[in-house]
Amino acid sequence: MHDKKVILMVSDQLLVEGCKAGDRTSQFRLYDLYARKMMGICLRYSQSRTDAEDILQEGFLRIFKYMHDFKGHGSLEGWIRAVIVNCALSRYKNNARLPKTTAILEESLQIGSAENIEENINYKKMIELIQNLSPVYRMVFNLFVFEGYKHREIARILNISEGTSKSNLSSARMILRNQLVIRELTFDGLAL
Amino acid sequence: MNKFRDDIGQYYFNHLAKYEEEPVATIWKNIEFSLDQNVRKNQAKAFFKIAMSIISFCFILPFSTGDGLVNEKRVDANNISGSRTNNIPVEMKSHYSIRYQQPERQQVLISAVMTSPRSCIDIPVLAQTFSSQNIKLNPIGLSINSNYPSYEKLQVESPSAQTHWVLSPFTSLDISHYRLVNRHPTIGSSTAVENRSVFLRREKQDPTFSAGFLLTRLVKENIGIQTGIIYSRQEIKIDAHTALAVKTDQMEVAYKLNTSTGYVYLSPTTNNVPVVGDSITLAESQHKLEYLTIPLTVELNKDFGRWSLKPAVGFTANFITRALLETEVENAGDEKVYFTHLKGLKKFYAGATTSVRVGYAINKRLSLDIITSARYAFTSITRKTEVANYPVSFGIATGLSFKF
Repeated sequence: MHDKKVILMVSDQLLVEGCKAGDRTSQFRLYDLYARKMMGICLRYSQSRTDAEDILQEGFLRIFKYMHDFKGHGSLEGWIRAVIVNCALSRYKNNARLPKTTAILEESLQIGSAENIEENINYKKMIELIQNLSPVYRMVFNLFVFEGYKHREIARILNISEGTSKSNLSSARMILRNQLVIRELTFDGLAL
Repeated sequence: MNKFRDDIGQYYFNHLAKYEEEPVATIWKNIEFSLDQNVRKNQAKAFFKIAMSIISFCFILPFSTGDGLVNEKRVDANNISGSRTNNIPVEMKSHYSIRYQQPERQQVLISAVMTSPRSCIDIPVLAQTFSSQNIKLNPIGLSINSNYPSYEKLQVESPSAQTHWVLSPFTSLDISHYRLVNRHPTIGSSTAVENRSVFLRREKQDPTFSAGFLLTRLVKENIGIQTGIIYSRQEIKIDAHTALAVKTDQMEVAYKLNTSTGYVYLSPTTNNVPVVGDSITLAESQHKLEYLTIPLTVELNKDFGRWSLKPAVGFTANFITRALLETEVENAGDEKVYFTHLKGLKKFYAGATTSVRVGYAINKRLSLDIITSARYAFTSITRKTEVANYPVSFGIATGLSFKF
């Protein structure tokens, strides 16, 4: 296990050096290594698969452009993830046309709690539910749940108040919960 | 733990934090295409910066080296006879710079020449210095003998002012390469379309031989406009590979041999009529290209005694005069096939060049040169092919320069 970790670190370092030198093979290997993971993140931050692909493409271009800024202090994957998330946030800020609520929200609020949810959910449907959130709900939910930011930090990043961040997260949670009910998806039946 | 993660948030985090999905293949192709474009932009920027630096250097240098020395009209004989200093050793390092072995006089003269080359104040200083010396010019340096009547004649006799043209024949060995850019970044997979990586793997370039002459017209003492004609011969080895039968533009079916510089259709005489999708194996192929290059550059000339340094930068017009492709069809009786014309190969491309020439003066008119140069294509040498091809070369040359 330890040896594998060392090999991975050495491999990452070689990849980084190759990318810094502009070596196309290293760039492709880096892309090949992390594209699938980052695509999963991009899907959560976007409204559609096409948007996610745009974020992924733009994100990797940024990664290759600013690779010389990566000093190797943290993990490469963490740095790549941060660049991709920042890219998604930039895209959100550039395209920010934020409705206060969505049709889904209004529809979902009428459903109630999720106590009897059936099984057979799949990951793609879960991703779709996140994608169906309004952009600001989606951003707040992702930053809070997946990136671990606090409301104060989210408020600063998205240029909203802390209270709005809390409110948006609460609404996003409620929408997601109710959507599971509407689509008759299971709450606990998904195996990792 | 975050209080929101204990229910729906935690649930989503558990299931989607490590979610992965395969992106479509076109994303990497688009990234690669953008990276290629960025590389090209960066190269162009770097070249532009170098060019501007050299040009700036060309224009700044003449004004910083004592231009006042050549202004004969401002020399006054009365000032020259005012004071005289005997036996001052003087050495002229180049056309403009004069160095004294007496430190205090070195300070005075250099200050006068550098700060106010065209003002009258430097003339008496120079006159006092040189008035009792007989100064004789030669192409390389300056020597002082005795009893030179005045400083005026020093201004008249300028070694480089008598030289207007420089002819420089040379031969060069170049390391050639090319920069390939995919024309169709989003179409098909790497196996369906032969892209740059396929050509880079398959083709190997041999060193290029170049020969020619450069003709320089000196427009100022330190600046010349240079042109000439350069012949280059380039050889490329193409590894054995499989060629597929495709429909030609004339709606016939033939095997397509693709290279980075163009393509040919071949129909082996000993083979049956191919259908689309058939393949043949080609042995290692030889590809030869011949160019004529006409440069137009600005050259700076800086002398250091017998040595001179001449950086140059400019543009080139390149004409592809000959393209020869020789291959062998392995499964058709080892039939050899020659092509003298490649489809998709252009006859002309434009480029840029930069060079540094180090010269050593053998005598008044002749000098021996070593030239390092780089050439870079602005426009592709191919059209309507899978890749755009931009030749790049770095060379080292030896030659002679005749001044007349």
